[in-house]
Amino acid sequence: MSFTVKLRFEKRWQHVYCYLRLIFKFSNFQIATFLICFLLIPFTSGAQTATASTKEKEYQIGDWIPVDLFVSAASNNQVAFPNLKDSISPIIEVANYNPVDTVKKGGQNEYHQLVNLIVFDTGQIMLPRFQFLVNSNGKLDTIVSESILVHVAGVKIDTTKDIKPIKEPLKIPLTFKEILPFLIGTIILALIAALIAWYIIERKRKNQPVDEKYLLPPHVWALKELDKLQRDKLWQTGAVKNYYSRLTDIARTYIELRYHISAMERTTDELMSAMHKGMMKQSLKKDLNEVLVMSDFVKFAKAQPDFIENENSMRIIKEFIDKTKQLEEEKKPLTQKD
Amino acid sequence: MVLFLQPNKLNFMESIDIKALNEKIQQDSAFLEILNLEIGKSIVGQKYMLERLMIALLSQGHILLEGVPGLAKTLAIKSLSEAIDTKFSRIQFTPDLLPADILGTMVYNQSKGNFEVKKGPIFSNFILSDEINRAPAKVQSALLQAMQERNVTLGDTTYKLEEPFLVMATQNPIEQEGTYNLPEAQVDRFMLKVKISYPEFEEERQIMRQNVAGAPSGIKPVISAATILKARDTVREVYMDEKIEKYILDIIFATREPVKYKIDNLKHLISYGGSPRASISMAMASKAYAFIKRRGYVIPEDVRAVAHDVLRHRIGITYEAEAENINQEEIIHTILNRVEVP
Repeated sequence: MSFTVKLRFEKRWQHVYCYLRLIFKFSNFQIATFLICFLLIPFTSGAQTATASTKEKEYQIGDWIPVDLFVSAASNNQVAFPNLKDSISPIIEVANYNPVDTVKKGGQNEYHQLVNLIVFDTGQIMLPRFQFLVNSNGKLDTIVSESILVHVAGVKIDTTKDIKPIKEPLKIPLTFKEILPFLIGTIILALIAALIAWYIIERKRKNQPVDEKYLLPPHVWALKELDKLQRDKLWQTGAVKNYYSRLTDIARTYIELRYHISAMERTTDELMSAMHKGMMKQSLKKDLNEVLVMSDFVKFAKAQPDFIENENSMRIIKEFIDKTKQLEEEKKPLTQKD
Repeated sequence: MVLFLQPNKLNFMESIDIKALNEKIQQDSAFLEILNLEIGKSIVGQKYMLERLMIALLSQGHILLEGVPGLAKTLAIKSLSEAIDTKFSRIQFTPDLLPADILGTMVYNQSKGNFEVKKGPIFSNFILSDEINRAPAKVQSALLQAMQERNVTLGDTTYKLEEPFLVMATQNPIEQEGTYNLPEAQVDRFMLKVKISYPEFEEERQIMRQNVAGAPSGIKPVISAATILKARDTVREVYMDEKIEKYILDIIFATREPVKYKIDNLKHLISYGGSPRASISMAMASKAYAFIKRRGYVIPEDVRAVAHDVLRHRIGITYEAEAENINQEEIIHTILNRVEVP
């Protein structure tokens, strides 16, 4: 349905045909010439028309009202469509609009734009006229569409039914496009945090001195420590308890590094049970047990072994290490974690 | 060749004569064998429970037993009492029990016209508080106060409880409905919490035969209360090196601050750790254990042997631990495996 002063070309050709018949009926050349010139004016001067139309006449409050803005102008003319804002009037809002679509037809250009309006009032509502600017070879011209009358109905209330609760606002699903900036931001932040954490850990690790026992082979480290213990001459100066404490600590740490048994957290009996048959010769295990038991006496029962025992204990531990050391071909890289 | 001296031939330092102490302990602990033989007449198996009972008795502690019914809990303490020639009382805790039912009360004597003291069952040497969690808090509190202070006040007079005084309380882990759980502060007063389980197959066969035959246990008093009191003094003399003291404290502190001991995974599982009473109990129990093993000094094995019984009721676990099905046993096990042995 159209509410316009639109000049339709089909109708126009009908008019032309009628005019021509009239002219030739009168066969007055002067009049005919005048009428032909009058008829041709719109074609020669480039006709411009603007319409605004809706598909229907009845709408409900809050509905989108699609308004088709149409302009026809000569192809060498420039047409500017109205700059639509959020609302047209206090009761009419612009929901959205499409870009202008151009179709060439002969020497004319037809421009279409679909504008969705929302009316927040009821009754007979007059949609306003739309203004278009046409630049015809530097000459600005304004064309306007006709206003449109629509009927906006309110929500029908059925009073016979119960009052229903207010409807929740519609939930608009989030689009990936909306999430994308946050997603990128989060990833960037996480990367920065990871980078900082990595930098701090690396710096801490570099600054932390690595214990020599993790760098050297267990037997090398243990023998080095035993030599140091011997040089300290502890039992010779009466520090027997300290001597046995260090001796057993070295032996236990060696077992821990060599056999991966948590020897420092085990008692002598538990350690002996953990060292199963396949690990070493039973004679070596027996000798080690005797040193550890002796150390327990010294450490916990104030026993004072004589110098032969002290020397013997050192010799046994050295022998144990020497006979149980890891051969080159058995070696596997050790880490601090191990 | 290894030419080691035997431990008894080792020279010991003069300040604390461990050799002499060892000899003294050998003498003073000789009664343990006789006692075990006598109790063995009526009790088959349950060696762990009897050993713990002896630890608590020798270190002036009390014991909380947890186990299903029918595991000879009553028989064990009754037999111990009979073998030591001491008085035994059994108090069955019920919801309607009153503090006076345990402690005693003042009764009016009409003929004499005055109030007389009627002592309760607590005035015994060995008390079995059966199903302690069935009585309300005020009754539990009265018993625990007497256990701690070792005396009872009736009227204006305070009566000292006769030594040896040992309370063995039992809890049934199955039926929890209608029970009053002991608060942490009160449970802490028990030196040990021992969990007992069913006997072995062969042990149960023997128990069955013994009961079917209906032979009387015939437990006779083999030692006196004085022997126990003397042994208690000897237990206190058992030598504990400062390295062992540090080891005990390390274990207790690891229950409070696991992160400090690099046991980070326990941080969210422990709500509270062992109290100073735990340190005292662990030291005393370790000494008693060393005494039972006929040694005059404590070694790390002694500490580890009693650690579970000393700590299991003194460590609070979080909801996270409960959700992950982690109990006190696992926490103690982890701590013992992570704290360095001296």
